[in-house]
Amino acid sequence: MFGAVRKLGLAAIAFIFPLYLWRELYPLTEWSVLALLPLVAMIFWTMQKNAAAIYRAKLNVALRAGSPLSNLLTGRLSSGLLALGFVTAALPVLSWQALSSTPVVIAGIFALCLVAGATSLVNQAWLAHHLHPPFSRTTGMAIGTCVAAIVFVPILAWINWSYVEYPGEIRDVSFWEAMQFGMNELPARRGWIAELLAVFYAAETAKLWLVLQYKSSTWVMALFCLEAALVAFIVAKVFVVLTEFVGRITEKGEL
Amino acid sequence: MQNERTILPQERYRHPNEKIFWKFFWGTVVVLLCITIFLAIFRWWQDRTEPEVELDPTLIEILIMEAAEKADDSVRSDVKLRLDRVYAPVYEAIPDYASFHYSVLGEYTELTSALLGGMANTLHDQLYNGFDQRYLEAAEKIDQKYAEAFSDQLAKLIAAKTGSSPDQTLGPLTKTILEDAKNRVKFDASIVAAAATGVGVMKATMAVAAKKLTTKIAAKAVAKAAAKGAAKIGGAGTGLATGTLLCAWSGPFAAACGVAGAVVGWLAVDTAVVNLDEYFNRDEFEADLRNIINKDREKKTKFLEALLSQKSCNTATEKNDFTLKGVADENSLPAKTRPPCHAEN
Repeated sequence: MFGAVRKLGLAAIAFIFPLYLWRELYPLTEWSVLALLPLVAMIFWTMQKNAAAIYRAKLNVALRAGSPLSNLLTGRLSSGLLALGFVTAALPVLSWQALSSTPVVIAGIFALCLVAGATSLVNQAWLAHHLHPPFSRTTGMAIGTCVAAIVFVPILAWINWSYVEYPGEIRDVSFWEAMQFGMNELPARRGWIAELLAVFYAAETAKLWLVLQYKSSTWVMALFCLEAALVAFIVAKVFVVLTEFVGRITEKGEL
Repeated sequence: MQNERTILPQERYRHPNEKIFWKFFWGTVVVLLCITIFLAIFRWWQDRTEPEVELDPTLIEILIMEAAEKADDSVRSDVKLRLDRVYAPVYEAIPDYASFHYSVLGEYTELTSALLGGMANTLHDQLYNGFDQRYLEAAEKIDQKYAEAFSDQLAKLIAAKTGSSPDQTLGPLTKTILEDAKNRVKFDASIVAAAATGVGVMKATMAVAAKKLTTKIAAKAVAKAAAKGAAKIGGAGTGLATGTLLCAWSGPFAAACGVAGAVVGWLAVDTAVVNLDEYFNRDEFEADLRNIINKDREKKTKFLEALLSQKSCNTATEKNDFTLKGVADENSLPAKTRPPCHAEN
């Protein structure tokens, strides 16, 4: 029990520190991106290790003993690409969320992280009685992620619906002005990070503008909130990966 | 976990570099922790050393209204100056257009355009060449100048009330309200956007001007044709007869030679009549064109000034942030009356 709490605590620190630093420093300098590097390293390393372990386990079953193919099919490339793909997709979303989320959404996301981490650990412990590692680990992680995300999507959608405030100006501007208004949230110095994040800001404001054009339909607005809450899947996955990372480095024998 | 059965060989081997990796990993975490603590302390220190002042929302509202009015006043005079610059090339093009109008080529081009209904395009191409772009650039400049003037006026008014710079001592709530107002200046009632829509209206005005001109040209053409008719027929007949006589030696080509003579005679008489017309009527024609353009400029000035008033009014009217739940609740309420900004214009 204490071990699980410790893992969750350390994972929370590993998750919050880089994103907090990024949020605080980005308005000041482009170098703030360095704060995200440890997060990238942790996610990539864990994802790569997990993917490689699964690959090797499958290969162990599929490949005959002594086959020279075992030297070629190490799984490093595919697992590396998989990890890289996930990091490339998750990092912009996380960094944008960290910058744009209001305190109430952050609180919701934090609760989601803890539930996802805990569910993942419980599942892994239960599955350890039924599956071989690394399948018990990865399946537990996947179930933990999905369960927590599915539970929290409606909660985050409700938070978006009831508590997230949008600027009043957006109600009276044209579509292009709305997009420009969204991008105006970025620092005036611009730079390559801003160009990347501008896509998210512009898309979000454009979606909101479109939703406001159909404001007579509550369903359209509810769908907007639900879509915004889908970020729960990425956040939950990242936190579960970080919990796994902490587990790997604290239980050294399992490396 | 170590007692678990596994289908994999145990992964106990550690690469020698792994130790270095962990050292750097935890080192980075410690560095990040230190930076975070430093930032937290720095912020706390800043908050402690610079006490923040929250202004009364009613006072802020009054300041924003005053700043909006003053910005409006300072930019209003600029509208006429900018439109003078926008219209300068249009006025400069009048003599050239008049020269074109009082030429044989111009006469036939205008007659053809009037016949085909393309007079507005001919007029636009000749007089209003590049006007749309200049007009929109001017609108953009007015927008920018208003935003700058508003920020300056607001800063001055706040400094006068609080005795300090707005960025350093104002509390977060006050700053948010002021930022909202600045955003309203930037994005609400954009003069460029409205002017861009107004370009369509402007083209309609051009069409009206062209119609007036076409009527005049048509009337003049009829009058000229009547006046010139006799002279022309005489000229052409004389040309044909003279041509035939002069070309008599050419035998079978005498007829063609005679036609060429008639055309030359027709054009010679046409040139003479056009020149005569120019001598007597050019000044009046240019004055007419100037009148049409003056009226167009007046309309544009009033239009831009109305947009400026709209912008000023929108700036002074606070737009509250909203939640989607709030929007859904609004739907169930009776429709509100239009805000005063729209009623004024």
